[in-house]
Amino acid sequence: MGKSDVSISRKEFLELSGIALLGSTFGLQTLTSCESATVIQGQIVGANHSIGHLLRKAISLPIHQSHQTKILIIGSGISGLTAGYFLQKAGIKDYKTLELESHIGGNSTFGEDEAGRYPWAAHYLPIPSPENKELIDFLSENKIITGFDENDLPIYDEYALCFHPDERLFVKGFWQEGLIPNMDISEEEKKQIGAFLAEMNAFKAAKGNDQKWAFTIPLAYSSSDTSFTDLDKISMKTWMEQNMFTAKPLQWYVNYCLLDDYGTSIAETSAWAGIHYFASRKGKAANAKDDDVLTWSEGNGFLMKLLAKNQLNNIKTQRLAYQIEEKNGKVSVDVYDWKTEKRENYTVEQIIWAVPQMLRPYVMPQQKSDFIKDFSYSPWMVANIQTIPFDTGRGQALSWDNVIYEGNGLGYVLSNHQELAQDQKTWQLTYYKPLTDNNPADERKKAIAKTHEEWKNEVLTDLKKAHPKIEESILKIDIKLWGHAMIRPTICFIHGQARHEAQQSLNNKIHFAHSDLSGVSIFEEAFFHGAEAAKKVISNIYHGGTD
Amino acid sequence: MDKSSTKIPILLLFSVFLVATCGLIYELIAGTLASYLMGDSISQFSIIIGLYLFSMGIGSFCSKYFDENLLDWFIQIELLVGLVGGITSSVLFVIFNSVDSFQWILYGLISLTGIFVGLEIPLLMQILNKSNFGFKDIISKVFTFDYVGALLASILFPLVFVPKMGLIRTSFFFGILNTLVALLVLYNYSAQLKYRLTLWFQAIFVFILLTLGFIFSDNILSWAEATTYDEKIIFAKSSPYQRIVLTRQGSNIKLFLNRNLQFSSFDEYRYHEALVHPLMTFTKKPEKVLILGGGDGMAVRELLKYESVKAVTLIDLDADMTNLFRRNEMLTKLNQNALNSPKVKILNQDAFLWIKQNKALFDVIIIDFPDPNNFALGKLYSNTFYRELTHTLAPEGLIVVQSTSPFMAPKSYWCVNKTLQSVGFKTLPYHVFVPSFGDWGYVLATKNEFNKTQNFPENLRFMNDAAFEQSKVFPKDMTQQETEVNKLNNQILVQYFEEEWAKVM
Repeated sequence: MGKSDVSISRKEFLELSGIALLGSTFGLQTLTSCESATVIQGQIVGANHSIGHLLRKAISLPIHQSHQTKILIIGSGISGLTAGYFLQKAGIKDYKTLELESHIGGNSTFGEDEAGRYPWAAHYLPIPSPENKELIDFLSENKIITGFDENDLPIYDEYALCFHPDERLFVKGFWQEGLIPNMDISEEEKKQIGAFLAEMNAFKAAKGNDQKWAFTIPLAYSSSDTSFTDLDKISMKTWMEQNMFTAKPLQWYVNYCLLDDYGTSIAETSAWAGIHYFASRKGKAANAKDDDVLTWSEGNGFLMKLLAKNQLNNIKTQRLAYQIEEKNGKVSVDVYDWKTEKRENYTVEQIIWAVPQMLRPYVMPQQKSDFIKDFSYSPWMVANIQTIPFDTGRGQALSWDNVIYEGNGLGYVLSNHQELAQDQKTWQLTYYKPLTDNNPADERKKAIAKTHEEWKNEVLTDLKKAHPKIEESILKIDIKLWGHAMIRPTICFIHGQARHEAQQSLNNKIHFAHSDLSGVSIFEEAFFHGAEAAKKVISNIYHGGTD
Repeated sequence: MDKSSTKIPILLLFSVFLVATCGLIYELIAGTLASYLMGDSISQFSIIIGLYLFSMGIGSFCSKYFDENLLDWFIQIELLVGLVGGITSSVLFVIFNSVDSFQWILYGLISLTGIFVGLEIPLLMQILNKSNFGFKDIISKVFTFDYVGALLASILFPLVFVPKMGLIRTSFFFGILNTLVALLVLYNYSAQLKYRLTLWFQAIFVFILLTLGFIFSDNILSWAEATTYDEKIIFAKSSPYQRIVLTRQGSNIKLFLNRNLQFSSFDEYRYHEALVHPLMTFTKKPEKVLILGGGDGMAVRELLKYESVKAVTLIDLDADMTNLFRRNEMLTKLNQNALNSPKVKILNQDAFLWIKQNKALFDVIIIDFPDPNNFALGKLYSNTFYRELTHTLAPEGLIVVQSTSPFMAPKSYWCVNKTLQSVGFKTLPYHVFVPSFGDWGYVLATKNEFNKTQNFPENLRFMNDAAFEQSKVFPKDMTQQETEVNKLNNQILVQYFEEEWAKVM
């Protein structure tokens, strides 16, 4: 595909981005099914607007107001907030952050009602490796790391470390502890699982010929040794088959993990990305196991609030940046404020683009962007289910993460797991499902066509495999659809050319920061790219690098 | 029409109305009871309704075999409906724990009631038909009253009867109504009846039986429950948090929470003296005391033996529990009215949440939580919780923790000890014999030294210097074990506790 492929008409842009950016573009489908008390209540969550509609209005208006600001950050997900956080730390106050939605946070968005808070997407952070200095510092500043022991290992806030029991898996009528299938499996399968985990541990310890970790987070610090990066050229499934990891329970487990972290199946994910999931986390703590995670009832919304707390005045929500072009050595940005229905123009020196790459061709049409076609994103459905306490089944007690073996979705997280009270009158289950039956575009279309009732039944059917009577205990089910939830680390993407090209700043004025630049949609990567972009901007501001 | 024939329908139509109401109520009671006792309300309700309607069909079919003495039969059936319908729910409650084929007895009783109810209306219609009424008129009137009665029943049952009377009493109540219909008809048409003496006798018998049942329905419920306890149940209540049951055998009173024995009045003094007094001998003049758990007030009773104690704050989640031990005369005798002392402040709050936000300091903290048999309770034995306690304890202060049995669950016991040490406490483990519990353990903890500063009070029944010296000795079968520290992110204590008690239960 060449350049012509990218110069899509305005109409197509409107249609594409309408579904592209917003989980909440599904406003027209918003349903509230509360016809009677016996019906489970709930709705498809989201605002009542679409980008296409907004843009049609925007371009028909004269410019109402012109702003001058040194730096403009586009997007207030984790990467945008992190960029602002580091600008502030460097003493830079002259910046603005624009957010399309009426709330900030991107994938760290959370919900809240009288019963408590619950995540709408990202819900945990594995304890980071000690080498991830910037993240460790951020956690220390915010008392999530409360100190360091005599070996310099971080001591984590015990209320944030995921309480036991953390994981359970429903297999054949029984909840086992942990997610790796261990009930009712053959000796051969057990052997393969053991060998696979040993292999992953070897990758975890492995370094390349450049003395860098073969797999680490941030991903950018991983070795470029081709004996490892060549793994990006085959799928995880192929790699497993080549290495005799064919046992069904093992393949199920690996597939589950990749769907959970990437929204891609074992056949779609590259082997490099697949192994990265198992081998990159090298966390260490004084008071936690290496694989422990930090979590809160609002999920990563907790971290998001910490990033945002000192810059709320810099953030303007309900703003669509729809045109960016260089003019007279500066950058001009056209913005539509859909709340007041006014068009604004920003003249700025530096831009941090902290939204997905796929929007670049439409907002910066003059710039080369043929590589963008390699960026693809998985759609997700997330359901938040409020229940009264119910019979949690035989075996391991109700845990933080509750997964059904060969289930339709990824199971559910008990969002109120970190609460301390003895008696919890309601439970909040957050149910996740990446939409991977067909290609992402078709799944997106299918997703928006479904009613709340249809989604609800789909979720219930899955949950009933483990909890046949759960329906009696459900108070409400809210659904959120994410059109482009996660970048997909498909074959040849992470070590391909597109990802490399996308990271290059434009004319040292426009810098890019989003987890899609890593090919892996996790908090640490978004944080890393936000911090990196901020460093470039800071260097330009303080050393007059803007030429 | 003459006067007497106009009189028949009013009374009999009123009977139709009552009969219909009662009939539907029995069906609802059976459905509710079945789903309450067996769960799966949809299937239970569905089966009960189907079975009931089918049985009514059988009853209606059989009605054609009744040709003579119709009024006699009607009264007879009415009494049978009242009797069977009235006692169904109590019979089911009582047998639920002891009979294996519970389901079939339930279905049997339902079918019986259904057959009788099914007979009632056709019989009545036959009776009316024999008077000089048009068939159309009979059909129209009978069914009108029938359906109005059904509507009334279906509305009143969930709104009035279940909440106000409960199932057992409602059941008796409608049995009595059925019997009253029989009595009324019996009284009015006595002259026309062939077997009036027998019927009178039966009616009065059934009426008395059901009335007694109505009056004593609470006793029936507790009797049903008593089959699971050895002793006589003297109090039972489900609070929002737990099932509270008190039993008595002779003068011995026992408290069970969720079927776990909490104390036996026969030997609880041993448990509570050992909980409170060793701690007090190591403190100078303790004024402010915090008790976590211990809503029975027994620990407070022991504390009030010290003049220095000025204020006791008691945190217990369950208001029903603390209210019971403040108001029930038998129980306030046991705790010597301790919970009503002006020195005592009771807060019905969650201990962890309260401790986390508390700013006040206490000289002494007494922890008397239930054993760590689930993950929720396990949090209250975690290093994180004990660390929160250090912010609540005065610098010279002491803590005592009831720590399950070092004989039955040695790893659990020593895990509590180790967890307290892990947050910087010096500990002093000790244990005593409480006959109804077995060998029971406690751990004393302080950031200071254990210096004895006062003597045991004179008026104790169990604890003194010699007994305490002995309690610090752990014989070979209870010696200290290596364990991990109990943390929120490992909940290892719950695991130890489950493993160890599984062995002996």
